[in-house]
Amino acid sequence: MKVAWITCPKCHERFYVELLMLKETHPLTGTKPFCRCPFCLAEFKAKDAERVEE
Amino acid sequence: MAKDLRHFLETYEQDHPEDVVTIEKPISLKHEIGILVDKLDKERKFPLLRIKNAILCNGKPSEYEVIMNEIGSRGKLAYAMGSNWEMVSQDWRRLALENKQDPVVISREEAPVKKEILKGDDVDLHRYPAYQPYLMLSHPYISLAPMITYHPEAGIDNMGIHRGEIQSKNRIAFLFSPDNHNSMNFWKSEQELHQNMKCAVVAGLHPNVLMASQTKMGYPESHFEACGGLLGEPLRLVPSETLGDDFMVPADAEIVFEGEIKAMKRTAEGPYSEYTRHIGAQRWCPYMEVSCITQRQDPIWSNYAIGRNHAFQGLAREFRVYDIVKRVVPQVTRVYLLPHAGGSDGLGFCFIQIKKTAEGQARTAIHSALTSNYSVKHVIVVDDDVDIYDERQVFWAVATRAQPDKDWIIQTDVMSSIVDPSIDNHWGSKAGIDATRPAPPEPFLVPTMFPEEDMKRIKLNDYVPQDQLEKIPDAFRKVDVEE
Repeated sequence: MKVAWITCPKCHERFYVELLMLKETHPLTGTKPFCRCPFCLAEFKAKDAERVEE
Repeated sequence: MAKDLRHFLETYEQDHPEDVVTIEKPISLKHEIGILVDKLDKERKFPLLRIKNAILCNGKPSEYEVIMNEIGSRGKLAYAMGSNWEMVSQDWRRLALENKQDPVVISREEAPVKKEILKGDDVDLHRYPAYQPYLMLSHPYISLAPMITYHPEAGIDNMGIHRGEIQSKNRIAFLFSPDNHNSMNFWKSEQELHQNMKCAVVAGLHPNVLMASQTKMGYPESHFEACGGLLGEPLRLVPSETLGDDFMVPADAEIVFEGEIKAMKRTAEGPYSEYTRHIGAQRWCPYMEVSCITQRQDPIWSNYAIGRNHAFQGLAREFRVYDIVKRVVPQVTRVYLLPHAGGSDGLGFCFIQIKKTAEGQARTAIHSALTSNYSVKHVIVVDDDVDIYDERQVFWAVATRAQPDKDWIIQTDVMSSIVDPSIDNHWGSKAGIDATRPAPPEPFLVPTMFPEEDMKRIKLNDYVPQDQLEKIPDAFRKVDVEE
């Protein structure tokens, strides 16, 4: 499964997401790329992450 | 009295008090409950847990009793449907598909689930004892509450279990895998009709209703009728409160959440503890906005020991695999999905027993089983002298009756489970092992054996008394390693 490890810019915890969530607009709904930190619930885009490891 | 969850709990506790553990000591639904179930799993025990003083994930005491493992073993599922350990998957198929019964509709006044009706600001999902058993999960999860939807054009009901992440007091995010029928109903609603999908999420059901929800039916085909087959009596239905009088929900449930899945909307769901015992990645998923909750007085809430459950989902697939393979290779005698190899889903290994009469039958059975369901990943075929419910015997057959260069089959680039951690983009590979002897009359070595009369005559307890036998350590367990 292709995932990316993300470091949250707010609480600095690491978690992972499907790559699609970071890079592409949702093909059916037009949802813009974003993710949500499971630790502090901050929502952010890949460019705002402290670190992205693919 | 209708067969409901309370009826099952009462009768099971009467008949099997040794398999019921009532816990009065407070325990948190965040991590602590997961640790308890994990420690029981390591003991290979899946008792029905009745947790009287659960602590919610937000630290508040739960208003409601929590149960776990009511479907936590093959034995309990067999008990629920009046079957036995070996025949339970076949009886599941027979009762759900061949003994269907039409549901009956009762009035709101008669329906236990209408005791309390909550709408508007009274809707608060944070009241319910959903659990958060592992690290890296962001919210509590609803884990054992089937979702009911209707085919948007045919109007036929569907039931299926999806994990639901409680994201706010009225929002639940759900993962839909592409082949399930609720997902197909949502696709029709959203992509073809451009509308939200009405749905109800139903918590606290008799195990047979849960089993009916996991029975793979045609599309569209009623699960309510399969419920009646498994229960042995019609499922009692009652009209919903906010979804229309033609949207029916089970009247004997503990709780019903009514609402809509929003079209053209997605939210971030997860990471979640998948049945594979890995933390699945966060992904985009649709979500439900809850408009109304109806419930019994003091409802009972059930959490599912995801990845630690011993039987439930794998057993649902077992009879489907058997039906398909048996049709192609009538010499097949038994099919068993090893419940703990791929979490609870039988993802890891499918064992097939065959009374082989000609070469090629075992290999044909392998191909049939591997294509019978996307989640069947490994298949091992053995002879009828091997007990397929004992993996030691199965792996003995692999070790002694198969040669890897001749008897192993690999399929590549096929549809796989979307939560299998080892796949890329929903495509994966599968494998089968033909661990059978050559078909007769080809000679083969015979296994070690004893005189039949001596086997009957020699009783173990004549030499090792039962009380001493019970104290002898299990040789396959680590006893000299501290946790």
